[in-house]
Amino acid sequence: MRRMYIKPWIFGVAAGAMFVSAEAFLGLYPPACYSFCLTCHVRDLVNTVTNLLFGTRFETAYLAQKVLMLTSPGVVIGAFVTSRLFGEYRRVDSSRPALFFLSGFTVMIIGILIFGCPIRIVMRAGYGDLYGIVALAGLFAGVYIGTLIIKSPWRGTA
Amino acid sequence: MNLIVMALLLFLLSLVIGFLAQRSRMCFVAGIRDYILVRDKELLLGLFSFLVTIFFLTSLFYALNFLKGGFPQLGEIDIERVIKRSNLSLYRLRYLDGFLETTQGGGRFSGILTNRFMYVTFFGALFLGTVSTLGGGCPMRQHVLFAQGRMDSLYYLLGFYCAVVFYYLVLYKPFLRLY
Repeated sequence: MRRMYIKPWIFGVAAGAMFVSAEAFLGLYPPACYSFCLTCHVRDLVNTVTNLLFGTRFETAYLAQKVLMLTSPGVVIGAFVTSRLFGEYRRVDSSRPALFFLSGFTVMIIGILIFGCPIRIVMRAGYGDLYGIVALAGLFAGVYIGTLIIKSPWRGTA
Repeated sequence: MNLIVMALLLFLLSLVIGFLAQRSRMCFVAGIRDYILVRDKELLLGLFSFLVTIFFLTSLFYALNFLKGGFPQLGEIDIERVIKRSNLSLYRLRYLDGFLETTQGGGRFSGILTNRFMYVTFFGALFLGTVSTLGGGCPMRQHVLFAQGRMDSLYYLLGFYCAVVFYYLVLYKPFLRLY
Protein backbone atom coordinates (compact mmCIF):
# COMPACT_ATOMS: atom_id res chain seq x y z
CA MET A 1 0.00 0.00 0.00
CA ARG A 2 2.84 2.39 0.79
CA ARG A 3 4.46 2.29 -2.62
CA MET A 4 1.38 2.26 -4.81
CA TYR A 5 2.15 4.41 -7.83
CA ILE A 6 -0.30 4.98 -10.66
CA LYS A 7 1.13 5.30 -14.13
CA PRO A 8 0.33 8.64 -15.77
CA TRP A 9 -1.37 7.00 -18.74
CA ILE A 10 -3.81 5.35 -16.33
CA PHE A 11 -4.54 8.80 -14.94
CA GLY A 12 -5.14 10.03 -18.49
CA VAL A 13 -7.56 7.26 -19.39
CA ALA A 14 -9.40 7.32 -16.06
CA ALA A 15 -9.69 11.11 -15.90
CA GLY A 16 -10.76 11.39 -19.52
CA ALA A 17 -13.42 8.72 -19.09
CA MET A 18 -14.65 10.35 -15.88
CA PHE A 19 -14.87 13.86 -17.32
CA VAL A 20 -16.78 12.85 -20.42
CA SER A 21 -19.16 10.56 -18.54
CA ALA A 22 -19.65 13.23 -15.88
CA GLU A 23 -20.93 15.55 -18.57
CA ALA A 24 -22.98 12.85 -20.28
CA PHE A 25 -24.57 11.15 -17.28
CA LEU A 26 -24.41 13.61 -14.38
CA GLY A 27 -25.54 16.53 -16.48
CA LEU A 28 -22.65 18.90 -15.82
CA TYR A 29 -23.54 21.21 -18.70
CA PRO A 30 -24.06 23.81 -20.24
CA PRO A 31 -21.52 25.02 -21.30
CA ALA A 32 -20.20 21.91 -22.96
CA CYS A 33 -16.87 20.45 -21.93
CA TYR A 34 -17.14 21.99 -18.48
CA SER A 35 -17.00 19.05 -16.12
CA PHE A 36 -13.48 19.86 -14.97
CA CYS A 37 -11.39 22.99 -15.25
CA LEU A 38 -9.35 24.62 -12.56
CA THR A 39 -9.37 28.21 -13.79
CA CYS A 40 -13.01 28.36 -14.88
CA HIS A 41 -14.30 26.58 -11.79
CA VAL A 42 -12.21 28.74 -9.46
CA ARG A 43 -13.53 31.79 -11.27
CA ASP A 44 -17.09 30.54 -10.81
CA LEU A 45 -16.54 29.76 -7.15
CA VAL A 46 -14.97 33.13 -6.36
CA ASN A 47 -17.55 35.03 -8.36
CA THR A 48 -20.46 33.17 -6.78
CA VAL A 49 -19.12 33.95 -3.32
CA THR A 50 -18.44 37.63 -4.09
CA ASN A 51 -21.85 37.98 -5.71
CA LEU A 52 -23.45 36.55 -2.60
CA LEU A 53 -21.42 38.62 -0.15
CA PHE A 54 -21.14 41.98 -1.87
CA GLY A 55 -24.00 41.94 -4.33
CA THR A 56 -21.77 42.37 -7.35
CA ARG A 57 -22.72 41.01 -10.74
CA PHE A 58 -19.55 39.29 -11.91
CA GLU A 59 -20.14 36.77 -14.63
CA THR A 60 -20.31 33.05 -13.98
CA ALA A 61 -20.94 30.19 -16.31
CA TYR A 62 -24.51 28.98 -16.60
CA LEU A 63 -23.78 25.80 -14.70
CA ALA A 64 -22.36 27.74 -11.75
CA GLN A 65 -25.65 29.54 -11.23
CA LYS A 66 -27.11 26.22 -10.16
CA VAL A 67 -24.19 24.20 -8.80
CA LEU A 68 -21.55 25.36 -6.36
CA MET A 69 -18.20 24.64 -8.01
CA LEU A 70 -16.12 23.00 -5.30
CA THR A 71 -13.55 21.60 -7.69
CA SER A 72 -10.44 23.35 -6.47
CA PRO A 73 -11.01 22.62 -2.74
CA GLY A 74 -11.92 19.07 -3.72
CA VAL A 75 -8.64 18.49 -5.50
CA VAL A 76 -6.69 19.95 -2.60
CA ILE A 77 -8.53 17.88 0.01
CA GLY A 78 -8.31 14.70 -2.03
CA ALA A 79 -4.59 15.11 -2.63
CA PHE A 80 -4.02 16.08 1.02
CA VAL A 81 -5.78 12.99 2.37
CA THR A 82 -3.93 10.80 -0.11
CA SER A 83 -0.53 12.26 0.73
CA ARG A 84 -1.22 11.76 4.45
CA LEU A 85 -2.38 8.22 3.83
CA PHE A 86 0.74 7.28 1.91
CA GLY A 87 3.09 9.21 4.15
CA GLU A 88 4.18 11.71 1.52
CA TYR A 89 3.18 14.89 3.32
CA ARG A 90 6.29 16.98 3.88
CA ARG A 91 6.24 20.67 4.63
CA VAL A 92 8.67 22.64 2.50
CA ASP A 93 8.86 26.34 3.21
CA SER A 94 8.61 28.82 0.41
CA SER A 95 11.73 30.26 -1.05
CA ARG A 96 10.35 32.67 -3.65
CA PRO A 97 6.82 33.67 -2.64
CA ALA A 98 6.56 36.72 -4.91
CA LEU A 99 7.55 34.81 -8.01
CA PHE A 100 5.00 32.08 -7.38
CA PHE A 101 2.29 34.61 -6.53
CA LEU A 102 2.94 36.38 -9.82
CA SER A 103 2.98 33.10 -11.69
CA GLY A 104 -0.41 32.06 -10.34
CA PHE A 105 -1.78 35.53 -10.97
CA THR A 106 -0.74 35.48 -14.63
CA VAL A 107 -1.96 31.95 -15.23
CA MET A 108 -5.39 32.77 -13.82
CA ILE A 109 -5.79 35.95 -15.87
CA ILE A 110 -4.86 34.20 -19.11
CA GLY A 111 -6.98 31.24 -18.11
CA ILE A 112 -10.07 33.41 -17.74
CA LEU A 113 -9.28 35.17 -20.99
CA ILE A 114 -8.90 32.03 -23.12
CA PHE A 115 -11.42 29.93 -21.17
CA GLY A 116 -9.31 27.21 -19.71
CA CYS A 117 -6.43 25.86 -17.75
CA PRO A 118 -4.15 23.35 -19.54
CA ILE A 119 -6.55 20.55 -18.63
CA ARG A 120 -9.48 22.15 -20.32
CA ILE A 121 -7.35 23.17 -23.30
CA VAL A 122 -6.49 19.51 -23.87
CA MET A 123 -10.10 18.53 -23.20
CA ARG A 124 -11.44 21.04 -25.71
CA ALA A 125 -8.95 19.84 -28.29
CA GLY A 126 -10.24 16.34 -27.67
CA TYR A 127 -13.81 17.52 -28.09
CA GLY A 128 -12.84 18.84 -31.51
CA ASP A 129 -13.15 22.53 -30.72
CA LEU A 130 -11.06 24.53 -33.19
CA TYR A 131 -10.08 27.09 -30.56
CA GLY A 132 -9.04 24.26 -28.28
CA ILE A 133 -6.74 22.82 -30.93
CA VAL A 134 -5.24 26.26 -31.55
CA ALA A 135 -4.76 26.70 -27.81
CA LEU A 136 -3.10 23.28 -27.53
CA ALA A 137 -0.66 24.23 -30.28
CA GLY A 138 0.03 27.45 -28.42
CA LEU A 139 0.56 25.54 -25.18
CA PHE A 140 3.14 23.26 -26.80
CA ALA A 141 4.96 26.24 -28.25
CA GLY A 142 4.83 28.07 -24.94
CA VAL A 143 6.23 25.16 -22.96
CA TYR A 144 8.99 24.87 -25.54
CA ILE A 145 9.88 28.53 -25.02
CA GLY A 146 9.70 28.09 -21.25
CA THR A 147 12.04 25.12 -21.46
CA LEU A 148 14.47 27.16 -23.51
CA ILE A 149 14.42 29.81 -20.78
CA ILE A 150 15.02 27.14 -18.12
CA LYS A 151 17.91 25.66 -20.08
CA SER A 152 19.50 28.97 -20.97
CA PRO A 153 22.54 30.02 -18.91
CA TRP A 154 21.33 33.57 -18.36
CA ARG A 155 18.13 32.61 -16.59
CA GLY A 156 17.35 34.36 -13.37
CA THR A 157 15.46 32.92 -10.46
CA ALA A 158 12.90 30.79 -12.25
CA MET B 1 -31.20 15.85 -10.79
CA ASN B 2 -31.10 17.56 -7.46
CA LEU B 3 -28.62 20.40 -7.56
CA ILE B 4 -27.08 19.75 -4.15
CA VAL B 5 -26.50 16.17 -5.19
CA MET B 6 -24.88 17.46 -8.37
CA ALA B 7 -22.58 19.77 -6.42
CA LEU B 8 -21.63 16.88 -4.15
CA LEU B 9 -20.94 14.67 -7.14
CA LEU B 10 -18.69 17.32 -8.64
CA PHE B 11 -16.89 17.55 -5.30
CA LEU B 12 -16.52 13.77 -5.23
CA LEU B 13 -15.18 13.76 -8.78
CA SER B 14 -12.56 16.31 -7.84
CA LEU B 15 -11.62 14.28 -4.75
CA VAL B 16 -10.98 11.28 -6.97
CA ILE B 17 -8.99 13.44 -9.39
CA GLY B 18 -6.95 14.71 -6.44
CA PHE B 19 -6.24 11.12 -5.39
CA LEU B 20 -5.24 10.05 -8.90
CA ALA B 21 -3.15 13.16 -9.51
CA GLN B 22 -1.30 12.76 -6.25
CA ARG B 23 -0.51 9.13 -6.93
CA SER B 24 0.53 9.54 -10.55
CA ARG B 25 2.30 12.94 -10.21
CA MET B 26 0.49 13.91 -13.36
CA CYS B 27 1.10 17.34 -14.80
CA PHE B 28 0.06 18.53 -18.19
CA VAL B 29 2.84 21.07 -18.56
CA ALA B 30 5.66 19.03 -17.06
CA GLY B 31 4.95 16.24 -19.54
CA ILE B 32 5.90 18.42 -22.48
CA ARG B 33 8.76 20.00 -20.54
CA ASP B 34 10.27 16.67 -19.52
CA TYR B 35 10.11 15.40 -23.05
CA ILE B 36 11.96 18.44 -24.38
CA LEU B 37 14.50 18.47 -21.55
CA VAL B 38 15.36 14.82 -20.95
CA ARG B 39 13.22 12.85 -23.45
CA ASP B 40 11.17 11.35 -20.63
CA LYS B 41 7.97 10.17 -22.28
CA GLU B 42 5.97 9.03 -19.25
CA LEU B 43 4.03 12.18 -18.39
CA LEU B 44 3.61 13.11 -22.04
CA LEU B 45 2.02 9.70 -22.52
CA GLY B 46 -0.45 10.68 -19.80
CA LEU B 47 -1.36 13.84 -21.68
CA PHE B 48 -1.86 12.01 -24.96
CA SER B 49 -3.82 9.16 -23.42
CA PHE B 50 -6.09 11.82 -21.88
CA LEU B 51 -6.52 13.50 -25.26
CA VAL B 52 -7.17 10.25 -27.11
CA THR B 53 -9.64 8.99 -24.48
CA ILE B 54 -11.57 12.24 -24.64
CA PHE B 55 -11.54 12.15 -28.43
CA PHE B 56 -12.86 8.61 -28.70
CA LEU B 57 -15.44 8.93 -25.95
CA THR B 58 -16.81 12.21 -27.27
CA SER B 59 -16.98 10.81 -30.79
CA LEU B 60 -18.92 7.85 -29.45
CA PHE B 61 -21.16 9.90 -27.16
CA TYR B 62 -21.95 12.56 -29.74
CA ALA B 63 -22.95 9.76 -32.11
CA LEU B 64 -25.14 8.17 -29.44
CA ASN B 65 -26.56 11.60 -28.50
CA PHE B 66 -25.50 11.35 -24.87
CA LEU B 67 -23.83 14.75 -24.86
CA LYS B 68 -26.73 17.16 -24.97
CA GLY B 69 -24.67 20.20 -23.97
CA GLY B 70 -23.71 20.76 -27.57
CA PHE B 71 -20.35 21.70 -28.88
CA PRO B 72 -17.90 23.55 -26.60
CA GLN B 73 -18.96 27.17 -26.37
CA LEU B 74 -15.93 28.39 -24.48
CA GLY B 75 -17.91 28.80 -21.29
CA GLU B 76 -19.91 31.74 -22.52
CA ILE B 77 -23.54 32.29 -21.73
CA ASP B 78 -24.12 35.99 -21.57
CA ILE B 79 -25.87 36.84 -24.82
CA GLU B 80 -25.83 40.60 -24.24
CA ARG B 81 -22.11 40.53 -23.78
CA VAL B 82 -21.70 38.46 -26.91
CA ILE B 83 -23.75 40.93 -28.93
CA LYS B 84 -21.86 43.84 -27.45
CA ARG B 85 -18.49 42.39 -28.16
CA SER B 86 -19.21 41.16 -31.64
CA ASN B 87 -19.87 43.42 -34.58
CA LEU B 88 -22.91 41.41 -35.58
CA SER B 89 -26.40 42.74 -35.44
CA LEU B 90 -29.04 40.88 -33.52
CA TYR B 91 -30.65 39.66 -36.73
CA ARG B 92 -27.45 38.22 -38.01
CA LEU B 93 -26.80 36.68 -34.62
CA ARG B 94 -30.16 34.96 -34.68
CA TYR B 95 -29.53 33.81 -38.22
CA LEU B 96 -26.16 32.43 -37.30
CA ASP B 97 -27.61 30.83 -34.20
CA GLY B 98 -30.28 29.00 -36.16
CA PHE B 99 -27.87 28.15 -38.91
CA LEU B 100 -25.43 26.55 -36.55
CA GLU B 101 -28.19 24.84 -34.66
CA THR B 102 -29.46 23.14 -37.78
CA THR B 103 -26.16 22.32 -39.40
CA GLN B 104 -23.96 21.32 -36.51
CA GLY B 105 -26.48 20.34 -33.91
CA GLY B 106 -25.75 22.95 -31.28
CA GLY B 107 -22.99 25.36 -30.51
CA ARG B 108 -25.17 28.38 -29.99
CA PHE B 109 -22.50 31.05 -30.17
CA SER B 110 -19.67 29.15 -31.75
CA GLY B 111 -19.82 31.24 -34.89
CA ILE B 112 -19.56 34.53 -33.01
CA LEU B 113 -15.98 34.52 -31.89
CA THR B 114 -13.79 36.49 -34.20
CA ASN B 115 -10.56 35.74 -35.97
CA ARG B 116 -8.93 38.09 -33.55
CA PHE B 117 -9.78 35.74 -30.74
CA MET B 118 -7.98 32.96 -32.58
CA TYR B 119 -4.74 34.91 -32.27
CA VAL B 120 -5.56 35.82 -28.69
CA THR B 121 -6.10 32.15 -27.93
CA PHE B 122 -2.86 31.09 -29.56
CA PHE B 123 -0.66 33.73 -27.96
CA GLY B 124 -2.51 33.50 -24.65
CA ALA B 125 -1.90 29.76 -24.52
CA LEU B 126 1.71 30.35 -25.53
CA PHE B 127 2.19 32.76 -22.67
CA LEU B 128 0.28 30.43 -20.34
CA GLY B 129 2.63 27.58 -21.24
CA THR B 130 5.72 29.71 -20.69
CA VAL B 131 4.58 31.02 -17.31
CA SER B 132 3.43 27.57 -16.20
CA THR B 133 6.78 26.08 -17.11
CA LEU B 134 8.62 28.75 -15.13
CA GLY B 135 6.17 28.28 -12.25
CA GLY B 136 6.84 24.56 -12.20
CA GLY B 137 3.59 22.98 -13.24
CA CYS B 138 0.03 23.25 -14.44
CA PRO B 139 -2.67 24.45 -11.99
CA MET B 140 -3.64 20.89 -11.04
CA ARG B 141 -0.06 20.03 -10.15
CA GLN B 142 0.17 23.19 -8.03
CA HIS B 143 -2.97 22.18 -6.14
CA VAL B 144 -1.49 18.75 -5.48
CA LEU B 145 1.88 20.18 -4.43
CA PHE B 146 0.16 22.51 -2.00
CA ALA B 147 -1.73 19.56 -0.56
CA GLN B 148 1.59 17.75 -0.14
CA GLY B 149 2.88 20.63 1.93
CA ARG B 150 4.96 22.69 -0.48
CA MET B 151 4.43 26.28 0.57
CA ASP B 152 5.56 27.75 -2.77
CA SER B 153 2.30 26.51 -4.18
CA LEU B 154 0.35 28.22 -1.41
CA TYR B 155 1.50 31.56 -2.83
CA TYR B 156 0.71 30.31 -6.31
CA LEU B 157 -2.85 29.54 -5.22
CA LEU B 158 -3.13 32.88 -3.42
CA GLY B 159 -2.23 34.62 -6.65
CA PHE B 160 -4.65 32.32 -8.44
CA TYR B 161 -7.59 33.39 -6.28
CA CYS B 162 -6.64 37.07 -6.09
CA ALA B 163 -6.40 37.27 -9.87
CA VAL B 164 -10.10 36.50 -10.29
CA VAL B 165 -11.15 39.54 -8.31
CA PHE B 166 -8.50 41.66 -10.01
CA TYR B 167 -9.65 40.51 -13.44
CA TYR B 168 -13.29 41.38 -12.85
CA LEU B 169 -12.58 44.67 -11.13
CA VAL B 170 -9.90 46.03 -13.44
CA LEU B 171 -9.28 44.02 -16.58
CA TYR B 172 -12.80 42.98 -17.52
CA LYS B 173 -13.73 46.01 -19.63
CA PRO B 174 -10.42 46.56 -21.46
CA PHE B 175 -10.21 42.85 -22.27
CA LEU B 176 -13.66 42.76 -23.86
CA ARG B 177 -12.24 44.05 -27.11
CA LEU B 178 -9.94 41.07 -27.35
CA TYR B 179 -12.84 38.75 -28.13
